[in-house]
Amino acid sequence: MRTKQWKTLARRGAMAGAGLVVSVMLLGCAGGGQPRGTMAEGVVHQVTDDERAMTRSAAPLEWDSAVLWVNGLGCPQCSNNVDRQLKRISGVQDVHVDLSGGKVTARFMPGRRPSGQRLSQAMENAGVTLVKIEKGPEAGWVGAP
Amino acid sequence: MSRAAHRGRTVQVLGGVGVVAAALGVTQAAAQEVMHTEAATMPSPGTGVIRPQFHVYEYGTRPGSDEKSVREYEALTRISYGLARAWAVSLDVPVRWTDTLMTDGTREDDEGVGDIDAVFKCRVYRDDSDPISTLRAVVLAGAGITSGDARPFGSQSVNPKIGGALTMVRGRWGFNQDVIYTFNTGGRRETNMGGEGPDDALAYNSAVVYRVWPPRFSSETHGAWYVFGEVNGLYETNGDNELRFTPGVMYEGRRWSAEVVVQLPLADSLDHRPELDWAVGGGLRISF
Repeated sequence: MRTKQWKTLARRGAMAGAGLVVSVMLLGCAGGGQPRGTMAEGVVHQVTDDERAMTRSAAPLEWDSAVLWVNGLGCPQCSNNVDRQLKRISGVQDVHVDLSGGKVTARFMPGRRPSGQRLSQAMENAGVTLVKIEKGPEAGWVGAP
Repeated sequence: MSRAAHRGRTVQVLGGVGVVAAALGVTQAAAQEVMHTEAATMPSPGTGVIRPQFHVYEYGTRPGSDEKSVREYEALTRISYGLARAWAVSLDVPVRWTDTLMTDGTREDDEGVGDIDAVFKCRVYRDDSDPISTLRAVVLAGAGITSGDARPFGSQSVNPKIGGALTMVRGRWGFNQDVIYTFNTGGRRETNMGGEGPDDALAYNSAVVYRVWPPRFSSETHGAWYVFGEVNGLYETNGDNELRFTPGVMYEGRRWSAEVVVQLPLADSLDHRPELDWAVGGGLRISF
């Protein structure tokens, strides 16, 4: 008898929980049509045509460090993907991933600067989208804030 | 083979899995993955994830048999590896023990290695709409392949499977959905706990994930706490259909994750296998 009561209680609890899961899924899907970037904790990347072209350029970057702005960096483990793929590029010395705004800072070895295209490929391999590349900090290192 | 020899072999298998895990080192994984629902995420090329899990399942009476209740312990190890951009492969190795209470009050126990699932994952769609949000879809194809273990849990067959999974992340929320069809070519009704018998099986799972902490990522975020709820469905072509509810908690760091779940029966119509009373599970995800 007690087992039966437990089963009934468990089933009702499960029913309520599942109802919650389905409701949240429906609400989430309904919210999928919102303007891009509105739910990413307030950060939206604005990209010019020149910046877009830089991510496809085969020419080495002109700076010793760069800030890569990426989309799809939704979790702590994604940042590890980014870190590992960037460090496979010859010339990349250090990487710091800031999850708050999809900001990845990379420092390069002197004279061994990678191209925007190579960085873009690494980001593709990491499963995120490189939106634009900017000049990184000149002095100090953001990896040790 | 004697029972002691069976135990020895099981220990060897578990030991082997442990040695492989240790030898592989330890590093990265994929996010928004929960315990029982597939996600459209994968390790990047040249990296992998080892995912040891332990589950306890308590089942009721098996229809048409002398089994009153069955408790199953499962040590499941999944190894996923990124093969190329948008391509990954995973292997699931389950080691199982069951303790069965018969209607006459006697007990029987079995142990063995179940079928090894080898599944390729190919990402067919990705839309990263902002720094956090993404929508991804993958196609899954592979097979449940007998481990060669002649004890009760091996099907002695190769069972192809095909399906897909969808993952959506919107700020603190994540959603996963999968559908996987298995063409069973072997298996035994007497030991089937769901999807492992001679009948084809359709698994359909949904999951909602919510990031509890931190509410906003910062430059110093190295880990996050999530709660999630899954609805796990399994239909077999013999007419059996079952829904389970699985709430859980997960901590995700940059190189490892840990998760615990409870699983409860939601609804079922089962004439060929025992229904679930409850289950608990826990696991780790370690990147290498």
